Amino acid sequence: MRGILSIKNVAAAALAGLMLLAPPQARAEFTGGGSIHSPYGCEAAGWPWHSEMTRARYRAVETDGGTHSEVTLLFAVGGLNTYRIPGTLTRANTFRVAYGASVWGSIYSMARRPRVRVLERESFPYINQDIRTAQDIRLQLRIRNFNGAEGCAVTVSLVLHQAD
Amino acid sequence: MTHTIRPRSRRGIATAVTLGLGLVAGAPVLANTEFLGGGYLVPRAGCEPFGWVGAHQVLVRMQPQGFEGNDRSETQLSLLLGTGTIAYRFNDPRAFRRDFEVTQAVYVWNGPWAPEDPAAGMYYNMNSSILSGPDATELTEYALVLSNFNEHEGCSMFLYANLHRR
Repeated sequence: MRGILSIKNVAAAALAGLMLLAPPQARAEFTGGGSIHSPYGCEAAGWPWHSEMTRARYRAVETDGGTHSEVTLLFAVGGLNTYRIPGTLTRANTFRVAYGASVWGSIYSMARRPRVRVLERESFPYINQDIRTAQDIRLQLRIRNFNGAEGCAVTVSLVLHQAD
Repeated sequence: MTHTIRPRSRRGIATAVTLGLGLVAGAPVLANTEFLGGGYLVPRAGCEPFGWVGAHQVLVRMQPQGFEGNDRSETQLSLLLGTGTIAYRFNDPRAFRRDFEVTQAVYVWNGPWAPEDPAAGMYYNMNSSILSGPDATELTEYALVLSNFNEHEGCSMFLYANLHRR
């Protein structure tokens, strides 16, 4: 019984592996997940109102070039947000104006531009590693006008992995 | 692409809310304390023969022992992978260098499978956050080493996650 199940498990794992390989530039992209929490002023939008589970991807300027960092959140509840933030995601005390798009029942561009502040970006288990070679990082952002909802702010806390 | 977020977006939010309610309804008992979040699984050693390579995104929910409404000596942990689910019950020592006593492991790929005596084991990685007490609200870096992952003998997997109290 265990043997048969193992084969199925391997098949499932292989499928998951293929899914990971599918998007272009996957090698340089950070992938992982975390929680969306500490909502403020989101009552009018009706969501989120407590901690949320999310999968995430992060495309860093340092590894992928370009002028904007990109963070994509794939919510457990079945929608996604993607944020294009000018420059690198180094820790800062200020909010930066970003571009946001979301997909729920359709594609939406966030007319009320999101503001993003980088609370933390740090490698682990050893801190201060070069982002280009670091494999494991924590990334924490405070996002205002989250999901395009004016006045709604949340904190996004992620752990992410970059493949060799 | 539209440049406003008006009526259609609200419907999107409504969908999100509906789905969110569905998830809440699916939770065991609302009076319990649970931590929600996500992260990734990445092989440590011995997983390649079983087809596990590279990082896998994972959603995580955990019901820690000793917290309001929860059991005193049993923690529940679910790993929601993209294509299946693994759930454990164990006695969390909340200390490094201690193997967890896994009392139950359930695997759902094509169907449910709960081995009578699970081979799966786990312990805290040295860089892990550990819940400090019943008032704790987050695990910034929940780092476990999962041995005999998915009942694969000799496959050791790292779990890294960030969890927040709901």
